[in-house]
Amino acid sequence: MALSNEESEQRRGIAASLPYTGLSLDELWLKYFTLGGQAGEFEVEAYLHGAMSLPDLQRDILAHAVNERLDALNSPAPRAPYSTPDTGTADGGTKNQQP
Amino acid sequence: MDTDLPLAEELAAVFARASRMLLTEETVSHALHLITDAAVAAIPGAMGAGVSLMKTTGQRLTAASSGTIVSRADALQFELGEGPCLAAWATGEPVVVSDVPSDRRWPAWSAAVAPMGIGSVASSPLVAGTTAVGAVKVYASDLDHFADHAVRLLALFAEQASLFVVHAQAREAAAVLSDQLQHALFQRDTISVAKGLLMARDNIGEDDAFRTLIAMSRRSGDTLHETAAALIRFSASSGT
Repeated sequence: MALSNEESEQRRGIAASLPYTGLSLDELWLKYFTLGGQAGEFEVEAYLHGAMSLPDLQRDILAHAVNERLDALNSPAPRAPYSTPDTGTADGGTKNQQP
Repeated sequence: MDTDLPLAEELAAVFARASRMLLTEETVSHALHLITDAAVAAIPGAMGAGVSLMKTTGQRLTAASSGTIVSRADALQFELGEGPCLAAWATGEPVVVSDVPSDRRWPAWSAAVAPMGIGSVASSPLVAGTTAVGAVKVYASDLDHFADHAVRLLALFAEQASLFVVHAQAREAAAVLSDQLQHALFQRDTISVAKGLLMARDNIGEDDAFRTLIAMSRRSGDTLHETAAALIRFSASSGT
């Protein structure tokens, strides 16, 4: 396996959630591309099979594509994991919430 | 292929005309209607024609016909699960029924359509590559209407119709994909603009801006595109 432990774990999580989306690989890739993903369909497929590594940002975009689909379906399925576990750590909208 | 068939050239002309029409009407159902019209025009004495596209399991996907009798006779084949066009599709060979009322190969279907005034039928499969994708058939009110040369003509016709259908299906698929791609590019563009705004706002690189955007979307539960669009609206209204 060419992937690090952390990357493997995320990959397994994404691959486990994927069947619940009902998306084919083509459709998943198009969704990932729509969100701004930069890897090709071949790379995404290879990553999902554990045969190729993807940068953490690309992995997170892929996870997000899966999760947006599960959200749209109101699916109770487990969500795909991100490389950063917590949603509160990154900077962003918090600035607007300050008084 | 016989080139001395009386209508071969006319047939080519019919399809050439239909292909030009297809440039503006890119749907399979329109293509099927053009095919039935062309079949009636091409086969002398035909009372009507129909064309069906089938799944590999034999279920009917879509159909067109030149009139209600043909439409009913076609539908009966699928309801009863038997008939010349199903046989043509299954065997990949043309099928002729020269005497519908007394033909015993598909008794339920023959018994149902003979009272509708159908005397004879010829059907030929539509083949794309090595796969039968459907069948075209012509009906006549008199018995023994389809002589050998008419069957050959129908086979020739089916060959052109197959190309036409495959072409129309490819165009339709391409049009759908192009709609999806337009949608994808539009959303991607919005996300890209939002990324740029975050880069300027937070003085960060492109990847970090993307991570920020994903974090915002995760926190709010809005989609990445909604998050990006809201950020752009906010930026425009606050003049930053």
